[in-house]
Amino acid sequence: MLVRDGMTSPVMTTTPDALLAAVDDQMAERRVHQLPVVDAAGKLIGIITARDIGLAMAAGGFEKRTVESAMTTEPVTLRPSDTLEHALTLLLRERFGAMPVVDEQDKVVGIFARHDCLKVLSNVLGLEEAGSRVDVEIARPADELAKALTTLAGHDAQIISAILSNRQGRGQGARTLYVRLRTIDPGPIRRKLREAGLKVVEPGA
Amino acid sequence: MGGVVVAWWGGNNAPAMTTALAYDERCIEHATGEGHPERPDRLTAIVQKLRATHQWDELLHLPIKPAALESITAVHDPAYVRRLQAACEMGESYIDAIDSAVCPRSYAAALLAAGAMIAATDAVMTGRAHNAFAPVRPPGHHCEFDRSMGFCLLNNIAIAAQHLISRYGLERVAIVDFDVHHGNGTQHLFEERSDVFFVSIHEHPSYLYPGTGFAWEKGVGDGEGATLNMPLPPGSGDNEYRAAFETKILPALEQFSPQFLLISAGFDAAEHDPLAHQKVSPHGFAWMTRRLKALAEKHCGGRLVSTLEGGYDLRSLAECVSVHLRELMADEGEDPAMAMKAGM
Repeated sequence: MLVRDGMTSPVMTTTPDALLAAVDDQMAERRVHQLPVVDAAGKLIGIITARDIGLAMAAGGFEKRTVESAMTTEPVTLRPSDTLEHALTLLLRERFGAMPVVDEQDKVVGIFARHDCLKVLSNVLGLEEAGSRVDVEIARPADELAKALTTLAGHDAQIISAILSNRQGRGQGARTLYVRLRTIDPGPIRRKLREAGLKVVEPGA
Repeated sequence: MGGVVVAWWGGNNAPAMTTALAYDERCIEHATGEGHPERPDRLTAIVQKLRATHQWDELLHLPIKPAALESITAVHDPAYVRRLQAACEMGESYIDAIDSAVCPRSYAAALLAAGAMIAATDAVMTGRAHNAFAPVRPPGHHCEFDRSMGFCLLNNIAIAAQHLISRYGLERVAIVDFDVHHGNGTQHLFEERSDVFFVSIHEHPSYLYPGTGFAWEKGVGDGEGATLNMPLPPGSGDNEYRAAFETKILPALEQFSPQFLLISAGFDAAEHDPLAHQKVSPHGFAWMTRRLKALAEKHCGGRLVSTLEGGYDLRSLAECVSVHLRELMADEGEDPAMAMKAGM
């Protein structure tokens, strides 16, 4: 998946001559923590964050201050064609709240925020869709993963998502295949997974 | 028809405590196909059990008519109802999701299931019965405004709640849904309104269908505060349910002070149910019913109608329905378990 698949677009922007007080209100209203700053041609020239505004408030003379006086110039940007891995790694490493997404002409086409990362995660897990969850313990991926996927393949219309966990917890223990199924009754699929010799987690047991 | 009701622990002069049964055997004709858990045998097992316990003879059997289209479209999109009818008549095998199986008789059964709830609420409002139970299928609580979900073709309890408001002018109707799955359809139909208080206690949405019913879903706009969700972790049993009722559900209902209490009685939180992971015993279901009945006596003049939602282990289902009814039929202040011993 690419940044264009997960970014928020179109995105609200502001201009360097806007008053910080007005931008503060806009951000509170839209519940965002940063806005890209663009020039008259729509080109990115900076980013203004809630933190920048907070610092400006503390410094005094706030009523008359403009975005230009408080924004960060030359922010780190993304391209729509960047991978999500690239965006996620940057967000984590730099601890950014968000990064503007720009095209070849530096025009702002979107924003990719932590919130967008969470939306991607929710989408990957399939949480927006009604379904049931089945967890399968995978101790020997070479053998059991094939069995699990072969079994699930017979019910492809019912599968919302299937994710194999990375290393389980701290140790070298079993990995888990988390499956969300588009049904109120995962019983038949659970049964088939068990019949294939797999260990299906029993919640609450 | 069952005819006159006698309190089965003795005496034949207790019409005030009549419990009605809103049952129509044509609900059995809703065929869902081989291996489907929401199957005709569910009703057969319930009827057999009620006959074996002789509760069958003590209940006031209500005649059931198909629900009027206007009662249904008071909560559902008319286009969906037409689509449902067409799917059944065209011989489709399901509507909207594979879970929601239909057959040519399913539309008639769905109208009767909703009609049973109309008959039950009418009997209680007109004083013919003190309270009532409607063992129906297809069930209803997952069904949304314009979409079938999770075995549910029409939202029977929502149709009944709206009927109470439209027909009798009630201003505060409470719905308690103890089916193990979140009653998403019922919630969504009423979550923007303050005249219907919806409570759902269910297994946590991270594990179980449909994946909604988090504690922070509390209603929307005018309905803010009129939705209460109590998700419980898998493995919960009588103690956890009891704690949820005592600390949250009953106090919230007390505060709402309903004029009528409706129950979405699913019995799939029972220990051996194949679709979920809870461990509520028949005793636990009896306890919840007793507390809800006491609440209805206090606030609603006893006006309570319960309807069947899920419950897929036939033995548990029949047993739990029987104890549920035993509580509904009990005279106030009487311990039905003791009464049963005396009566037998």
